Amino acid sequence: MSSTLLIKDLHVNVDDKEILKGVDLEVNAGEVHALMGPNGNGKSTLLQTIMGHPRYQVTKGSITFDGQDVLTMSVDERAKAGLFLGMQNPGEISGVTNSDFLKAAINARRKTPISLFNFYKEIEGNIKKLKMKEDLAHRFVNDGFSGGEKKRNEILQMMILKPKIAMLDEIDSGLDVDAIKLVADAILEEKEKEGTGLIIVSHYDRFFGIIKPTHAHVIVDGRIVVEGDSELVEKIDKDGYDWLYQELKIHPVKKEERPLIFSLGTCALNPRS
Amino acid sequence: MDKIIHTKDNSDLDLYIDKDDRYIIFIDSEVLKIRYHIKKAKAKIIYIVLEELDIDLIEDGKIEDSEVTIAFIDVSKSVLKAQSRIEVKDHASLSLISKYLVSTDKDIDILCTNASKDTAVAIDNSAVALDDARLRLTCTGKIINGAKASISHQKSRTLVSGKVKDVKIDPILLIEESDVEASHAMSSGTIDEEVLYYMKSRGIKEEEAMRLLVTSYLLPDEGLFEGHEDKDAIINLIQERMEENVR
Repeated sequence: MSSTLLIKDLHVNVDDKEILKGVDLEVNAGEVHALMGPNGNGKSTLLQTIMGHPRYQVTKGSITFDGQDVLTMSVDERAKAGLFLGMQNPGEISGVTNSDFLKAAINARRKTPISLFNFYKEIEGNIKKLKMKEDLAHRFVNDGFSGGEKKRNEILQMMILKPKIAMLDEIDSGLDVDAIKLVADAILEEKEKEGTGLIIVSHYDRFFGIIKPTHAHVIVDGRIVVEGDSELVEKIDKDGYDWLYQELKIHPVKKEERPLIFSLGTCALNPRS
Repeated sequence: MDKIIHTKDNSDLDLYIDKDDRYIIFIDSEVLKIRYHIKKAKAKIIYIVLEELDIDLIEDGKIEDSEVTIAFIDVSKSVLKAQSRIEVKDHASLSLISKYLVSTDKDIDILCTNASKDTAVAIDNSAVALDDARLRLTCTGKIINGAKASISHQKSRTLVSGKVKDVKIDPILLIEESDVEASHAMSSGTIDEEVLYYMKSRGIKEEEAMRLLVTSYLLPDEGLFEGHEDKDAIINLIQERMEENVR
């Protein structure tokens, strides 16, 4: 069945500050959407809001998935409906093994628990495909993992959970050149096999070069300011965003820089000076 | 040698251990006094509380020239009042591990004394406090005058998950000798909301996520039961009871 994620006029606040200022987006099964834009302008906010992070407050607009109102669904219900977010900074869960975690995630989608044989058959093939360490199942979730291992683990989860729409937030950061190719190929294979719709945030043309987006969107200051296809991705990789700011007379949100505060402390002061 | 004891219908238990013995003691009686004397042995005593009782426990132990592990695992909904006094002498070492799932009242008072030179005590307490928990854990490491080159370390960590009534952890060191190594550490925290969100984003319901986190916090290391023929069955029993009581 074809799946559609539909976002209309989405406004989102974080800590009472408006970050998304009216986003419209439609993603269908099998499509690959590149979500681009300078840092701090709303890409991750959009993905986290779709997934239901409690910090992100929707003040206006709607998100529907196959006609269902996503905003009334809990986070786990969104996941079970077929949404998946491969996170930029996946959580570390010390004490919980990957196998227990994955089993719980699989069983959450089933009426009867998966058999141990089928479970290991399912994960072992994918672990090999992603060239991950064989002991992964017995290690604690992301605990002590390198940046690259964490990202591969996100993709492993995606491959096992088979979402209808997968959102991948800078999934290629922390990966070396070979690993980028490996992960991109695995994502593409999954898309072909399962018809997964993809929303991908990345700063690297190399990744998009393999994934080949069918759609591209640029978010600046909480709005999608330009849309296109893989040609737009190539242009941004070549020319950056300045031409956009000039053409559209817009300014990106700059990340707040915290002032560096030095304190000598009273014990370092010479009272006689 | 492995021995499994059920304390049902017993109010007193006396053990003299001078061989490399391992005891698993299921506490299923409400009033219990346990005395043990361990001498020239490599021993392990693991107490397990699974039943929902109102337990009044007194432990009085002497450890001489031995290498001993004592573990106390209470994953029950029992009300527990426990007083533990353990004396470590003559080059002996003690590793004391305790794990408590708390949803009722638990009042635990532990005193481990390094009673002669070259003795070592390491205490590792973990507790998960659920809704309505009232936990008072006083853990004292004492090194007496003359117990030179002795070691006493303790750490206690608590995970608060729910609306607890009261949680109080008191780590205490009483040091009467200067030539020693001693420390205590205590941490208390709640379940990380970001971790919970991450788990939910994979379709895991909040209750199931909590169950996974709590059991991972308290489930004893398999090594504790190493070599025991019923190792898997006992760990499963603890895990099942813990899961029941977290729900």
